[in-house]
Amino acid sequence: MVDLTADLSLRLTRVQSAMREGKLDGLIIYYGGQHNMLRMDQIMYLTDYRTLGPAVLIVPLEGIPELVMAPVWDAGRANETSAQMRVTAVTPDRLLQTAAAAAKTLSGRIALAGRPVMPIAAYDEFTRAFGAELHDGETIVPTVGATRTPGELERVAHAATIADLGFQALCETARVGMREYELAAEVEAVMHAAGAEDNFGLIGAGSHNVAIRPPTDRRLEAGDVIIGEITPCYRGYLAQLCRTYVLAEPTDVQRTTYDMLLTALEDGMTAAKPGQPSAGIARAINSVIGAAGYEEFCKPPYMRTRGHGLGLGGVVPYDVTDGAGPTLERNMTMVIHPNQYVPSTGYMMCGDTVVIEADGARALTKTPLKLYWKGA
Amino acid sequence: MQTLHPVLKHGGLFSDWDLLPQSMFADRYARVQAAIAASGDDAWLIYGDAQRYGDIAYVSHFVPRLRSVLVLVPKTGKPDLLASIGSRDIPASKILTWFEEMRPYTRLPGEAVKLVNDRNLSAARIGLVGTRVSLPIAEWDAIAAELPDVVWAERDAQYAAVRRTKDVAEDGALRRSANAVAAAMREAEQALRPGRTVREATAQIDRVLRFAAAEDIRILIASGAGAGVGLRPPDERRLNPGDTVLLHIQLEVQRYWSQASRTFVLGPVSDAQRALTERADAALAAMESAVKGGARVATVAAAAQTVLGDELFAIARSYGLGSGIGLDAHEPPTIALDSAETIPADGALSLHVVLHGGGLGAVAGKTILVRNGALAPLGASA
Repeated sequence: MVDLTADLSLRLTRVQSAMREGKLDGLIIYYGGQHNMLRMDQIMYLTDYRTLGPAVLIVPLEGIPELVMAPVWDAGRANETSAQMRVTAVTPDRLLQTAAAAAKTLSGRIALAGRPVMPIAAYDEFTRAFGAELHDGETIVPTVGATRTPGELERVAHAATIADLGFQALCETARVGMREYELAAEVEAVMHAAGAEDNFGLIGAGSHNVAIRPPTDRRLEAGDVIIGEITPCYRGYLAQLCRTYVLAEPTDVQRTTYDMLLTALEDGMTAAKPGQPSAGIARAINSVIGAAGYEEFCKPPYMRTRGHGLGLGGVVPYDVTDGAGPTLERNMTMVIHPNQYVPSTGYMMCGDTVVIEADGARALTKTPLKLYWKGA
Repeated sequence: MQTLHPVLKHGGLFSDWDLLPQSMFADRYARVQAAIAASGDDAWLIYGDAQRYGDIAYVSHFVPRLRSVLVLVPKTGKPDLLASIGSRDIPASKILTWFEEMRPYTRLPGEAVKLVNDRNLSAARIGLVGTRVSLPIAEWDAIAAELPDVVWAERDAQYAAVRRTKDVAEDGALRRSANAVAAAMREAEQALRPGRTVREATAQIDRVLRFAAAEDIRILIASGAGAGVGLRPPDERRLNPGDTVLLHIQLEVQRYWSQASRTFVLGPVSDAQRALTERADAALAAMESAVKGGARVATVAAAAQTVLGDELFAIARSYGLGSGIGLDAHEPPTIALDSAETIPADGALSLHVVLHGGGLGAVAGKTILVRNGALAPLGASA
């Protein structure tokens, strides 16, 4: 069990060190409360508090941060995290004025993070009340947070275990006649009971899927290919599992296509080593699929990315594409998924959440790699 | 009541055109175009996101499962919808709207500018809806910089006036949502058991809601000593015999929200707990009795204050006493003592009372329907 207080202190120290390198005397972080798998929750990273609504964290160069949050009745939850911080709870209408007043106690060169999600009215109110120049502080926390601390790794690994349970539930409950959203409900119930507080969950089915999509009221039919992007969130941290389940014995073409995806995933994993560019993962995957005759389907509109940073939002290496990408480092977490549309089978999914270790990628999701089917 | 926003609306996403017919949206579209003409504008740009999508859904029925969406309604002619999706996602997204045109975007500013130019509106007068409260400043700056000859005008008030016209078909959607919440509350009677964690119990409740075609579910709960402190999202606390459990559920079905709150006691009920629960229930009943079309909203809040007294009322007020509800979980009017608003003759209201005192807690809440100025039956009681 990781010492969470020490872990959060380590994160703060790293951020304050990055601020020093960037010649900043203070960092103001705004978060809107609209949680997003692909955007890092910078306040959660430093406080272990997942906000209900907009909140502002004021980080000084030295000393502990101040969290200005609303509503007041949620202050108990903010105060009981292991983070060392001052919590100022206010009514929502006082949030930005209070935060601006608190930020004014900082002196020197101050930066703002969160402008990309800050609504016009909120930005106007805050900057008017703050009244001084704000530098761009957008990349400080995501850069520091590119690699997972021990406490973060523990949570991503736990989320991965929950994802495995979710897919197991899908296999056990999928049946002809049930609606797609009912199948999603069964998966959700198992993961929720296992500790998932949220889920970037997409489950679709059909005889020829074009892409992954949300569940609808469509009833499952014999022969359906069920594709699942199962992404539980455990204490703020996400892990993703992509698998495919056929509601019948798979055809030879389906088996062959899925074998191709398994090979692509294996090659992608092999390319995922510290010091190597993330683009190498996409190139390795596309190489396998291209060699099978599907090169044109490795590009938009059929495919876009072969994975992405995952954990506390989509931090480095962001989207895994075959263009230029950042260099992989130890303790980055990401999902690698050679999901692929193929004309003969439709879209099939295969992917694992991994952590980059000294000798390469290690899968945190443990669901065996194979094509699943009813009766198998 | 403020709840935890999910990373994705991960329930069933589809359109039940029998429940909410496309003809209703065509009528709404005509009303919006009439309002555009009345304002002297050439078009309106309506912005929304997964958190605040009501303005978008009102005219399009579309709901973004994450990120944002922009709708262009010209004074005459067909609309356009820009959605933050990939082009391969269009087939699955088009089933969520009656609009014929949908454009995907990765970065909104470029696509929004292109849309305005494509529709020959680069020197037009364009009204803005939902942008002040939701559109990120960085995106707005980029859009405005590329369209220097457009005359922009805030049209939130005008659009809100259009949205105040309620359609009969909405009752069905609100009723479906409220009935699902009522079923979930019944499930809670046996899901909330000593020995289980709060997470396990709410998983069972959540499953019932998802089987009712939930698009989005929000649950706040407090149990044991926490019932005397505050509501929170579900956690790993284990329920004990004798625990009081406060449960608040918000549910979105076919874009329409409803909510309810209820107090459970896992065993014999103490006199003090019974008294507090009855105060919450009585305050809710008093608020409901004060609801009439055209009545001042402040009188509804005052009705609760009369029952609760100043000390308990202060706690209830910190959570809010409710608001309008429908395509957004929180719509005008907000139930408050200092409100100058009136109760609409047609609409839905969310009313709730959350109390903590003496280490105990109680909640009571429901969604009510107002039609022709009077309360109308909404569905099964929660």
